[in-house]
Amino acid sequence: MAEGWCSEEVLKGVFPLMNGVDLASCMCVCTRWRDLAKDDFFWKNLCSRRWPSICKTKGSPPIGASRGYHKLYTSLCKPQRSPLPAPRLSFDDIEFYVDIWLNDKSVYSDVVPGTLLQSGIINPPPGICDIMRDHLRSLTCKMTIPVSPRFRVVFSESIHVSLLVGRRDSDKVACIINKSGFDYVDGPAYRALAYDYLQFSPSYPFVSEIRAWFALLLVDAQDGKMDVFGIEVDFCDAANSDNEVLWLLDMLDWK
Amino acid sequence: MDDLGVYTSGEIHLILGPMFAGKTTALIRKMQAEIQMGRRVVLVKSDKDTRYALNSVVSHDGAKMPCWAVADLASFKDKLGEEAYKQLDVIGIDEAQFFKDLYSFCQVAADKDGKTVIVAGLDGDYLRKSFGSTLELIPIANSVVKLTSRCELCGKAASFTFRKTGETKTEVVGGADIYMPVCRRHYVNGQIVIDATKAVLESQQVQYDTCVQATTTSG
Repeated sequence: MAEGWCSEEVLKGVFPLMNGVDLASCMCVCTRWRDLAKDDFFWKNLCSRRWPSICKTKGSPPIGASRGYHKLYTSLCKPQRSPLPAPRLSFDDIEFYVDIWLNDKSVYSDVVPGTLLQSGIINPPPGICDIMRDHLRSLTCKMTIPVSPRFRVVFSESIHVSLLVGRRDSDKVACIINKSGFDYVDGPAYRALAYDYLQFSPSYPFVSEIRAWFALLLVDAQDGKMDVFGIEVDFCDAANSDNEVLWLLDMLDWK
Repeated sequence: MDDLGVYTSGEIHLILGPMFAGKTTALIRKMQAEIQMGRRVVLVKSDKDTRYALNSVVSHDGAKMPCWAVADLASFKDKLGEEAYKQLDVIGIDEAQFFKDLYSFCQVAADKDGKTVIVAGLDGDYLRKSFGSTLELIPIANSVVKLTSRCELCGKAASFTFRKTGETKTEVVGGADIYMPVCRRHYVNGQIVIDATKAVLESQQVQYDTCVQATTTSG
């Protein structure tokens, strides 16, 4: 009885009545069902139901169907976003040029290799607040480096930062932050924040309004003032993983 | 309408977000872009916000832009004068939540006068309730952008403003000493702490009142 119910003729009569999800499920039952359900006839049926115009091309199969209607249907109906392809840029290819001014006097100037910024502050120094320690230990993508020697900042005075990025693979430079002020000091979190809007290459005319953030990581000094023990760069408006950051950097207006 | 009686289309663009999200900077950037396109612009802000210079708006990078500080938008139109108003192409409004007549002004400016109005302001107060009439503009706006700040407690994107003080009035003008931007998790956690503290204090007050009553009656 069961054998008769599962006969090829019965299945061939039932499969055309199914939707894509059910037909795909049938392909997972066993090898025989898979081979039957993989027949392009059923998938052409589905394609013509969903996109009638696609099957109206005279003679040759429609564009995309040369690989088979099963492939065409599944590729067009994939609900999930395909993962980001590997970026063309790597942290080995880039270095960051950091300059910080206090009242137009340079207090910090350094060239930071991309790999160093990517690896972050591995051992947070003693004396930092709990919020900062948790922040540095959290698993989210973070680009931080310790500052050595530490320098002092007075927030009643004018503090600015510039951040450029250079790429070794093409010997070009792009601007990430163009002399922005630290207008927001996070008291409880011991952070001072500056940001600027990224300038993208004309090849990406529809990408805009994405900010780069730069933070001074602070610790209490002996005399009650604050020292900078580290710096942090991130692009949390748009990029939350290493790959996303590299794609974003690749899209900048490189000169 | 222009001089020839031809209708010129106005626009309304909204920039929303919590405190310290860079709304003013975004507004100034848009205004500067309009200036570069040769358009005549004016910037207006509320005279309630006295944190910075009254006659200018200051962005995060220290860029200043002269502005009119007014109590309401109708008085701005009167101060400016009919002729000068006619010449304008773009009106920028900072700290829009403080203007009671925001909706009526923007509607007339865009629909009738053909002006481009760029509005920056808080979307919600420290209780995450609608603040002023900025949200009323959404149905008549051409675009709406909600900026984020950074959560003071974890560094993630922050969409809400949390008040550190016990003051319960909605309109308390202030900076980082009074407000902090927080993410959803820390906003909710913070509210739980505040509500619990209030409950404890209120129960202690009840106990105190009961004790006082008992003492006075026995005395």
